[in-house]
Amino acid sequence: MRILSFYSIKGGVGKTTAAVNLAYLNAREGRRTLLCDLDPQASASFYFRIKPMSGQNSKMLVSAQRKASEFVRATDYENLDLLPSDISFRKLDIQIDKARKPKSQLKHTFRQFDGEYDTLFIDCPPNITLLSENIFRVSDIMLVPVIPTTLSRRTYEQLCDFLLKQEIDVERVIPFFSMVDRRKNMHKQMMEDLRGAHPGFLEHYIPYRSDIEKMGTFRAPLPAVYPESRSAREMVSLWREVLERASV
Amino acid sequence: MSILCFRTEDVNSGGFMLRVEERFEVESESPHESFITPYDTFDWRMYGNGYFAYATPTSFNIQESLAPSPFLEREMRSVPRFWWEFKDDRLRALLKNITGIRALLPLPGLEIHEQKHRVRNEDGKIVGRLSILTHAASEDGARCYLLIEPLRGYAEERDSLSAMARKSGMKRLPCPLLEDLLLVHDIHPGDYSSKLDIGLRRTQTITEAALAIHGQLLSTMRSNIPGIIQDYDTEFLHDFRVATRRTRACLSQIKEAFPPAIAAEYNAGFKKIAQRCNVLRDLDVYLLEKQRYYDLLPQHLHQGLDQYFAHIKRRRKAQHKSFADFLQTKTFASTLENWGAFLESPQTPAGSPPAIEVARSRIRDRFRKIIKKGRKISTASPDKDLHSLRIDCKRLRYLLEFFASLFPAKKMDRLIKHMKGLQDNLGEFNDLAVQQGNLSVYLARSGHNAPQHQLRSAAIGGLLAVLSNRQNEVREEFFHSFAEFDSKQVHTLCKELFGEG
Ligand SMILES: Nc1ncnc2c1ncn2[C@@H]1O[C@H](COP(=O)(O)OP(=O)(O)OP(=O)(O)O)[C@@H](O)[C@H]1O
Ligand SMILES: [Mg+2]
Repeated sequence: MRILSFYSIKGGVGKTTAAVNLAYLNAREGRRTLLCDLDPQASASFYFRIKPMSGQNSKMLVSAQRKASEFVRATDYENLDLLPSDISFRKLDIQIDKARKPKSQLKHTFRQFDGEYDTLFIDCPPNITLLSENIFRVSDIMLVPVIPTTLSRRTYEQLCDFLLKQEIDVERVIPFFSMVDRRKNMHKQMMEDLRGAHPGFLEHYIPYRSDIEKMGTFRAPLPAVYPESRSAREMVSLWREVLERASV
Repeated sequence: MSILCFRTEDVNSGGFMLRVEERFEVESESPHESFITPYDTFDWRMYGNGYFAYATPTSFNIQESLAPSPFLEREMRSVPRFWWEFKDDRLRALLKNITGIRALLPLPGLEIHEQKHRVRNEDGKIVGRLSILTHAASEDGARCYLLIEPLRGYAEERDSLSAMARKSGMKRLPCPLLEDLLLVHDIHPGDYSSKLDIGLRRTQTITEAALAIHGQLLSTMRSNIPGIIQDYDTEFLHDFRVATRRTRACLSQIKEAFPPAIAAEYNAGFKKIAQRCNVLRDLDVYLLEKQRYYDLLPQHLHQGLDQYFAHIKRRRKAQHKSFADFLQTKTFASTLENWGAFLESPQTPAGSPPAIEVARSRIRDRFRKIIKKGRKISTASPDKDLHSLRIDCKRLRYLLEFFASLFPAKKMDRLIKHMKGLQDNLGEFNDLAVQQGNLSVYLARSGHNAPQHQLRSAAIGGLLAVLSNRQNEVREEFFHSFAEFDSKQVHTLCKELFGEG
């Protein structure tokens, strides 16, 4: 089982959008996929029309008493299941801190899905916390969306510094551009600068598009509803590139 | 979560769909017709392992019998008979494990009308899938089924759909769908097995027991005949032969059951039948073991073996034709008919003893005989002593199988397990002797002059050497296998099961 997480320090950069669509594409290719919605805002669950859980279930991620697999739900799509979010995930940090091995607690939790799924996707809340440190340790690959703006560049570089300090393998980090507005010269320029300064950005990127924005209305992965659209095809290309880079 | 299957007369009756629509959003897919041909081996190996294989006009599919859809789907216009003839690797691996050397055979086709519905909750989330299947035109009218395919995490919704089905007068199907569908053709999945399974009662007389045993064996013989004639695979003949052998063993070992003259007559009759297919079975075994022979020899002698196996194939073809012809003669038909008629209204000797008593004493005697004979065998004993011991073991094995249901199952299984090592050893010893004998005959009869004959002789000579070495090894292993059988455990087990006499 390979674990992919979608992470950035900054909020609202397209983590959930990428996680939902790419998890769908992965499942569509026949890999058994579980998307874990660890963000208490429950956006990924919302996109799949799955209600968040009742609000007391964060313990399943930190103790052996409840099995997380009991909470898994099937999405409407073949090979794709979801572990719904729970409002109590807000307190995950505190709970992880109390666990016996706080830095590798999630590694232990996710082992239970070995064999049942081929790929695990994790949609993370923004910020650097104990939870995100756990996620860095458990992930085979971290996909980091970056909006080509000065502010995003700063937070991306902060993340790289943090990982270096924690001695976490930066090789596992795959950055890609998100919400790119091609009409903005500033975006173009910033993409060039960033590619120069940080090799490793994916060639393909996710442009800013109104059909992507509308996912909140039709509540489904975009390629499931508009498989022939430009946005869907661009997502497929991006996903291909990730697969080639990381042999998921 | 597996699928729930209900049988219904008509899905609209009882207002099932109305009930569902009251609570959920229902989205119907367009209906479709399919014509499927189920496949299984004659002894139901797919079904027995919980699988269902079927072909559509363009594909071959395998699903778990309680799953909503196949987990393996391959495009294919005609379905090969044996696993090794399939091209796809996953299919080959799966079928190899399940079907082994048995042929996959088509069962009568099923014409199915399917209407699928997606069931959504107030958020528009799919919480269940329904499928309504109707089997077209069958004598007892259309069969209609409702399948409720649950989704992980939506057990509550599944339960309420299932409650709605019940309220609408539908009944849960007690078996996999395929099983119920095939009843349309009066076919009962799982109704054939090569294993003896005779439920005897402790109060039965030995004559009653013998009738039950023979009845089952006769029906096994009969059901394998078409497969032998059609030559689907080698196991039809094998099962047929085992049934005749068991029949003869029962006739000769359980003398109390029938008048001696009758037993002798049928024993001789079945012996003749078995003799007619001895060669055919030997040739079948060669062909089944072909690869092993090649593996025994170095590459440069393989060409010599090609000729040998071409010769075996030709002989087999002729032997098969002659036996298949025989099975269609009046003589053969009347042997079985008369035997069947006798079993229907047997002449029974007065005062037939209880089966359990005969079983106990016969098994005890045979066991003692084996122990006595086996202990006498030394490195100096002639091969024929081992062959004779093999026959005794076989006889004991048959007795154990005939009467298994009269004794505690666990202990019987343990005893049979203890016997297995010895039987395998003696069986291999015998097979090696037979094979060497046949190869020698072949070598003596074939010419030696032409260059290809030299290669052939070299190949056969090579095989003879390897087989003879192996036979010596097997003979040495005998002492170990026998010691394991002649152990305190086995003696105690026998005493517990069959008494001290
Ligand atoms: N490529 C895009 N084009 C248009 N709108 C987008 C695109 N990507 C994301 N959005 C919109 O931007 C908003 C934030 O996106 P998203 O939720 O994916 O970001 P996030 O990084 O997961 O946010 P958070 O940090 O709050 O979890 C959403 O309303 C989403 O619909
Ligand atoms: Mg998010």
